[in-house]
Amino acid sequence: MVSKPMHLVQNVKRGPYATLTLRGEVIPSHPGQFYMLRGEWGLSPLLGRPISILGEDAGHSEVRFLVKAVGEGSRLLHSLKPGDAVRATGPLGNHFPLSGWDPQSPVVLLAGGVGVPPMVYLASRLSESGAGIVFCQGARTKEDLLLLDELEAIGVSPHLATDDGSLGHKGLVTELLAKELEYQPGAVFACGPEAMLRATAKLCKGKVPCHVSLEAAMGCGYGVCLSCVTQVTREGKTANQRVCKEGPVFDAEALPWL
Amino acid sequence: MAVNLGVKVGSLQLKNPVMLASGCCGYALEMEEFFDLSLLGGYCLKGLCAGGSEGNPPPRLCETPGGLINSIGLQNIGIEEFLGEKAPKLRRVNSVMVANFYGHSVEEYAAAAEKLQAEPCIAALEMNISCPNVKTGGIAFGTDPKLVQEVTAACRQVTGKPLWVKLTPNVTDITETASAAEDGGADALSCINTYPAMAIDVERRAFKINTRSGGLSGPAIKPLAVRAVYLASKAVKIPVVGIGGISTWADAIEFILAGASAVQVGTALFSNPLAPLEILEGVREYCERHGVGDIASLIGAARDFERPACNLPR
Repeated sequence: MVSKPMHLVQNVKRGPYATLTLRGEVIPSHPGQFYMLRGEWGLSPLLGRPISILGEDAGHSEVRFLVKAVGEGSRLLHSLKPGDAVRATGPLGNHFPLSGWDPQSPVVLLAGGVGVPPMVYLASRLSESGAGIVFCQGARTKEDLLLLDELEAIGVSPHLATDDGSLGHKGLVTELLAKELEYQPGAVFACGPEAMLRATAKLCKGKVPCHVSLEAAMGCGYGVCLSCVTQVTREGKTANQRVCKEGPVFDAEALPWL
Repeated sequence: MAVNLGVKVGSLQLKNPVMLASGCCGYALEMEEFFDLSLLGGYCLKGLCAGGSEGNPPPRLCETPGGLINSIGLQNIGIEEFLGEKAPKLRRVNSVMVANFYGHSVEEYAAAAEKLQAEPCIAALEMNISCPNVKTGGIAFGTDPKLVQEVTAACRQVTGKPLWVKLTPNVTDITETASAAEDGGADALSCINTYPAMAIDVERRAFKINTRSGGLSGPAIKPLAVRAVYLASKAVKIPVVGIGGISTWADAIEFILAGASAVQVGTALFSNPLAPLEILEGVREYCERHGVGDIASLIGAARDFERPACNLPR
């Protein structure tokens, strides 16, 4: 990982969402990893923001992110303009498994909200390797569904669920998962709101390996400040682990609190 | 122009005055992913205690204007695991390693200092009597001059390594605790730890961190810290290491002019892990620009000027 100034080459906005492309020297990453991003905006907010990687180019000179303007820092990232300098520290954290299940079985990718970008990155990497993918995305309305064009570009037809039924299944994305579990997938990977992750973990428990990516308030993103810890239970022992370093991707069975 | 950036903190020679602050650089190995630790004057490890600690429940951190409030609660792997797992990997680093430590009683402080005594890669011990986020130990020892002297003297007895005492600014008169640490046998003072602070989410009508009160760090506290360093360094004969919101070379120079023999960079690492190298380079350029051949000549130099600088806001 490195920490260095990069610059913004493109900002494509859609409502509160912005797809940012940063240019600079890019260290190859894996899906699920993230960067700490901070523009040159003075002393407040003081910290960078952890943003999942949406994708990167093959030449290792550009990396893309999707941010949603929800607070002070993400609003400033959303308003970045081409040419603006951004301190980018990354890639950080661990990543989703890219193998380890029966290759004859498909994997289910479950995504919601700003949890969609890393799952799109994962889908693109898995489809390159020829793995079978079932991609399920949930949102409040069809306006809130994200990155459908990117999914189409990599040849993935997502199963959609909206709360109001404006597109796809009317209801929760985890209801789509319940159906998919009948076909015995090789693994389930999820990123999204905590309630979605909780329902996902519950459905998968004891049936299929499930990995979820967690969100947490981070100070540094690289393991020194110990702000982002979560309780992880392995072999009957519970201990704090850093979401930024040992995570953000955890085996759902190791998160009994979820 | 060749600039001598070397400074002495008591008997310890540092190749330059820029160090990493405890609690902000982990066990230092994390920082090696970004740069070579031997480029710096030194680094202070995350506070260690016997047996380790799981720390406080999250949320442990929130931002405030120009700063942040933390309540990590001194989560650490424990002295035993540190000595067994981490220390062997740190022995090859050519820089001054300072082990920060704490206990929950005078006896525990002394026992911790004794346990760390034998490790060859530890150049000095930094006694933490100033953490605002643990119920016993920490700040409880740092606000009473008598206790400061007692716990310093107890640790002094069991270690031959240089003993630094990290002070809290949460006192009426820091010169009293500074002098007490000196009287107890401290070799240097680390000034300062975080300021007790609080933040409330008005929409949710709830405290922003789990323990309600935490410690404020970052640029927001820098002017308070500069004053504490100035006062403490005037009151004692032992060297003072300046800490508190240092994020630029100018901040580092300011602390040195106030009386610091070296500085520690903490919170600035979070948003820019390379900040210490940038600070070091800026310090060197400052010395060249001002014709300063030896940075040690700047220590406390502002105190010699009786008149303030012209200070028109521009």
